[in-house]
Amino acid sequence: MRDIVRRAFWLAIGCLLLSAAPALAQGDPACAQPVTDDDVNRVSRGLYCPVCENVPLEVCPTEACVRWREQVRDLLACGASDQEVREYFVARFGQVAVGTPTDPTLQFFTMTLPLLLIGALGILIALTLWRWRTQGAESAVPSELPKPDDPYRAAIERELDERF
Amino acid sequence: MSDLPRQGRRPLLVPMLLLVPTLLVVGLGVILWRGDQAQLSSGVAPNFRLALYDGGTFDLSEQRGKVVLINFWASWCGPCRSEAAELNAVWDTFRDRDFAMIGIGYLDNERDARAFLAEFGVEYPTGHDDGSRIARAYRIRGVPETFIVDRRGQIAHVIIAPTTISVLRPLIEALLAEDGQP
Repeated sequence: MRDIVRRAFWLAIGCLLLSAAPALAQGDPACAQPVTDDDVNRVSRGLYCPVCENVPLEVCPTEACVRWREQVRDLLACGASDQEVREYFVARFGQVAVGTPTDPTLQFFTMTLPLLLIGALGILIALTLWRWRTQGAESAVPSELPKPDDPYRAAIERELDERF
Repeated sequence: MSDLPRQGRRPLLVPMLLLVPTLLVVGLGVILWRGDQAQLSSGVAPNFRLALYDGGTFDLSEQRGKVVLINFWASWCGPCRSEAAELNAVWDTFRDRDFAMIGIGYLDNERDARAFLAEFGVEYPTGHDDGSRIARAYRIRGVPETFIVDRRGQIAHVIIAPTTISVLRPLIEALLAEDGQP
């Protein structure tokens, strides 16, 4: 369900930005915001080359990267925020655009499992702390000695009490 | 008395200590196994629906009974440019027979893709693979790549390089000559 909602959100972002394309082609003033190379590089730093491995878009010399950087520039010129550009790239090109593994198993082991382990570790630590606190509280309460059943022992206890 | 909490802690801790390395080993094994999986070259062609640049939709399941050529391409891909005219020739040759053809844009932006289609006068259906879902299903490694699907929906040929009509014509003719019944 969350996956569907997330996809719908990206799709909506994608459609919104795609709808700006005709305006861009016609030189719409709304897509004429000044964009510097630094702006493009800032966003490109978080995106990855679609055809090489582990090469950020910012430093990638391939034709595909050149085209993607141009697209980043176009989207920024139309007023898209850095986050919107990233979301557009994910919606259009998939998780590969942001360097996230596309393989669902790899995605689980690199993204979900560490969070689950951190959560489990947190619960374990919380339980341990809670147990320590409970034990500490229990040991702080002066416990009354149970009355001995053994009459011989009771006599010794009584005698000790009397003497000391 | 003090043994009781310690006994209670063990059942939680021990499975955790066993579970984590087991999960990691199994996960890494699955990842390595998946990584070694070769490109699709036989079996049922994964079904897909693709929104086309001209506004229609291409549904592979609706092409059952036809020979289908699936070509992955991108406007930034040099070899795709060299094969564009060849694919147009294939479309012109077989379009009136039990033949369907689909160009799937891979990691391409719409403006450059449309410019590419206009430049080469591409007339067969084309659309962009949003989210690279079809590319993942076919496990493509790059572009251009061409899959030929027979009348029964089985992958018959895969060509991982730019191709030509002289390569494709005999393959398609042979598949068209086959009976579509399973």
